[in-house]
Amino acid sequence: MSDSLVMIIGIILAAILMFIFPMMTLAERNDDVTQLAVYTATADFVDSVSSKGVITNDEYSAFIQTLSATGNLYDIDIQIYNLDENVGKKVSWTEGTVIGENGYTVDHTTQVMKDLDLDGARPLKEGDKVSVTVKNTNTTLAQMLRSFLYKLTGTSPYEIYAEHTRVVTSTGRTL
Amino acid sequence: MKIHNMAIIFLIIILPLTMLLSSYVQVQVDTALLIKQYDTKLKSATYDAIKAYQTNTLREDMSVTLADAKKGNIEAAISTFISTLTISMGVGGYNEDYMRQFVPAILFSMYDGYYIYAPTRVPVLNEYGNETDEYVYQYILRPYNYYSVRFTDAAKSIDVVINYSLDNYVVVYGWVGSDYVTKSGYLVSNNVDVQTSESLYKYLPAYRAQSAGNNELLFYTDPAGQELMKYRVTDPAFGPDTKATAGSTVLYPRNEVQYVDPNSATLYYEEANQFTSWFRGALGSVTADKARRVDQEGGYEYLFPGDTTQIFNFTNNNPEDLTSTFTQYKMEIIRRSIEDSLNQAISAYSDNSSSYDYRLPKLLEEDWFLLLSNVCMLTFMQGLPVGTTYYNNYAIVRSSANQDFAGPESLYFVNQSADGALTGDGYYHTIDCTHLQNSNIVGYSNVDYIQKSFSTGSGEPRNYYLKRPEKACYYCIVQHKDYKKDIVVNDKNYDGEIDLTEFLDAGGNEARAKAYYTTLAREKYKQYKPTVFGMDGDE
Repeated sequence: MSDSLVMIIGIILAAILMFIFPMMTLAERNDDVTQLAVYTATADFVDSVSSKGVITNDEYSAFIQTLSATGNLYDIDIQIYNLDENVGKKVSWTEGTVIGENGYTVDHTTQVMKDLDLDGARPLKEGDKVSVTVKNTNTTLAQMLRSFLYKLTGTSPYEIYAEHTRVVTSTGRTL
Repeated sequence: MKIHNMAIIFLIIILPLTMLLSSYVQVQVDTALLIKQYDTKLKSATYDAIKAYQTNTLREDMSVTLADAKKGNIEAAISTFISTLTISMGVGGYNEDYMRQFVPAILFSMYDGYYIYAPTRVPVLNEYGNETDEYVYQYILRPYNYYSVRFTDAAKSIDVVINYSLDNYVVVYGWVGSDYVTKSGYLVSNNVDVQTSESLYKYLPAYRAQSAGNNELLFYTDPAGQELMKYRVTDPAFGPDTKATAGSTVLYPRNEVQYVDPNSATLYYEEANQFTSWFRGALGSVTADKARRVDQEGGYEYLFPGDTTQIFNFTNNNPEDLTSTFTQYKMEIIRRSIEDSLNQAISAYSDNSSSYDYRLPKLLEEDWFLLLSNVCMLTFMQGLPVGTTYYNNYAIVRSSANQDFAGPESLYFVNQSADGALTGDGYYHTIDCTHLQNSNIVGYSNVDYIQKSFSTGSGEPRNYYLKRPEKACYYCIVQHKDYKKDIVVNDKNYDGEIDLTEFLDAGGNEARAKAYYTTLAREKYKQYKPTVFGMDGDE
């Protein structure tokens, strides 16, 4: 009886060691590589937008395609901070120090998507800021295994996360 | 063998492999992330530097006409770049000289040429100030390079050097037949309707030194608070004072001297036509294969061998058009000149370096376009150890507000009456904005709307506007996206491309077209140019 118990425990341990552990390690490495790919794609996209001063439909589609190629589903959040330099002109300053007088209005993903759908492009001006955040919405294999092994400790809602923000350095308008 | 023995053996084999693989992937991930962070830092430092340049050059009337001051502004911008880069790296022990070694070159492209800041071999001086045989590499701002090319056509007895600029302004000197010519001017191929007389005033901050009376003095104070000029209210040159009250701070139009010739736009086209006519006659038949430059060995190299395109034949070749043959060849010539100079600068530094092989990276086409569209700063950072490799990238940032270059993108428009009074909605617009009224349109350069401040000496600084007090339109400028929809609404022939010419040519937009072309011509006409020969050949 006790031999059988040891055998069963041995088999379970062996299974964990020989299958689940390597699989989990490989899955985590896979997520690392995916994380790198997603971060690089996000940073490249934001850098390009910041340099050109425009988000085009083509470029956005290419970005989505790069993300899809990783085999996961993502939630993409785009925020555009429109610089408003009028604030400094509207206020009568009572102090000599007026650092930080500019304001920003923010366009979120849905507004940007609407512009892309309608016009095929969303131009930006110099001084605006563009921020893109990408999170995976599906459960990756590593998340699944981790949740299976030590669910009690809790798991993060997303495994792959990339964020990049840049100031737009060129007004995106070609006359 | 028992199963747990097998498991242990498996573990012994697989565990180190897994750990190694994991470590390797992690290093690669960290390296890639670090490279991206360095990209951001490099771009931010370059952006800071170009902002510093703009801030300095926009100090109206102080520096723009002085080449030395301009050079000083560039050196200040470079200093800002190095400081920001060093600070943003945020690693203890880094100092500016340490970071500088990873910057093999910085390019500053200007209106008619460029500066390169790079380590340069300079002789060591002895105690008497004489050169010795020893050399050291020192970071210096190298002499200004013009966007120039030499055209030599023996059959037509032409041997001239042409200095290009970012727009349609050129300087020509050399032999045309038996005449030695030195001329400069704008090349145009069409005439447009422009305003014949404009009254544009510059406003000066002034305040009352005394309480009332005809002897009251008005001080023009510069932004640093220093008194530069004085006026008496009764001075005929100053004009009647109808707005000021005792002790108040007011802005007075300095209307005795308009800041620009009222007929600038007309003069621009008159002089440009005269120059273009001469240019066409003298050099119209010159072909691209006659363009040559000095090669590395000191000899000459033809830039476009076998290419018989007549670059200066302005039939269907508008020099003001970015897609014209003239512009395309000009861009190629400038590009090669910059590439050569940068290659030389970076390679020379590399030859002296034992740690890293510095090489000029290949710039993207869109970056070249950006570089040649306004004053730009191009910075390189190479050789910085990052993870398992070395960092190697560049950043390019374009200046959007300066007094060196007047481009179509830097013009904003307001509705104002002939005496300069505001008649519009209090905002400045792009020419295609529907919120710009269709009459009394006057355009200014974007730098003319910038808010300035001055000090009366005792109180807090006051804000003022040198030219126009309007704010940026929320539709076309702040929410930059909306102008495009305006075009779609107005332009029935909208084909998906933003085409300003098409928009201006459309029926009903005559006033806008006139204002646009007038402003562009006027801004070009009054723009400071380092080399001006004109048609008479006098500098």
